[in-house]
Amino acid sequence: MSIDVEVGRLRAAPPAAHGLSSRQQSLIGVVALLVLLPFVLRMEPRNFLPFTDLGIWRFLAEGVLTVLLISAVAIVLSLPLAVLLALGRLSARPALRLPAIGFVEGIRAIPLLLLIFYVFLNIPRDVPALVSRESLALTLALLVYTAAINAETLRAGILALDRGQMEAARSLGLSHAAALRYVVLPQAFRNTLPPLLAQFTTLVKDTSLGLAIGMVELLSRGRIIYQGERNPMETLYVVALLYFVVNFILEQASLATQRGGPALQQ
Amino acid sequence: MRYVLLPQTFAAIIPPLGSVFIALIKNTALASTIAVPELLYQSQLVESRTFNPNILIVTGLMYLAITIPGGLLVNLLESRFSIARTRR
Repeated sequence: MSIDVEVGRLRAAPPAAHGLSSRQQSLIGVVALLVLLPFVLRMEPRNFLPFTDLGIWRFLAEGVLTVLLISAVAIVLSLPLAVLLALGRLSARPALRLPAIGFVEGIRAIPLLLLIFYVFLNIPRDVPALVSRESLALTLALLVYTAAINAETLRAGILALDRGQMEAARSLGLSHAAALRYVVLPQAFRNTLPPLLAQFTTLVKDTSLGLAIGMVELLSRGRIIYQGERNPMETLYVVALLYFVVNFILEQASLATQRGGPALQQ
Repeated sequence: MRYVLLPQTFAAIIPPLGSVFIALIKNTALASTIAVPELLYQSQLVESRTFNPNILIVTGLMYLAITIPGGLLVNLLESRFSIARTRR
């Protein structure tokens, strides 16, 4: 139990000597870097001229929308799969445990890009889909990959819980499934929330891998722009800013849910 | 710093450091998008010549053949250096 208390104290992040939390410091660092970067890389002010046009912003905004849509679908669908995989890996039955182990370890050990290619090449051409084959493949690959990684995080969260939690729930008359559903899983989720959310931020950035299978998402729209305007540095800078804004908003939202959620148990 | 703090730090962060390095190995696959002839790029060439997407399964196994020994090495290092930590 002493270890738990220590972790809680560390997570509270004592304010630095001059009164800024480490989160505020890193935000200042990122903003300073973004401001300095155009000068360090000697970007030409006139290469930013295309961005005075509203049409380009609409073009990029559609890319942001694609990123948000694919991330949202992949995140929402990956969670139940991650829970199933984590429970499968912890199961006492080899028939459930072994496939889960093989799946999680296999997916985690191969590059995400390879997974995307594989899914993309195996999607039948004549499948009646509402969305393009590219976005379907990208969403599926991101979903499976994120689920495999989050399954390991969740498994660690479940194992880190005191065994007494499960035993107490069972002795109160809850079935094994009910004990998992109402006692073990909520606590495991709450304790592993930071790494889970970090993986979701990674997922948002990994949507840019759709470029490799010919998806027209944010990064690929940036490439279309700079191939026309011949200003790769400046365009990629703007695209990076957009990714930063998306992830910053996501992080603020997740911080808000953490603050609004039930207090950490000690 | 040199003889007390850093050795303990490294012993404590071997597992996460190891997973970052293994992730780095997997991220070399990204180089194929800028036409570096590495493992994934070459297997795409084979795939486009044979029209057989299952080539990529073989490629995946090759990545496994690299990352699994890497993971075992990390486990070995972890058990080798974690003695100091458990005696706390």
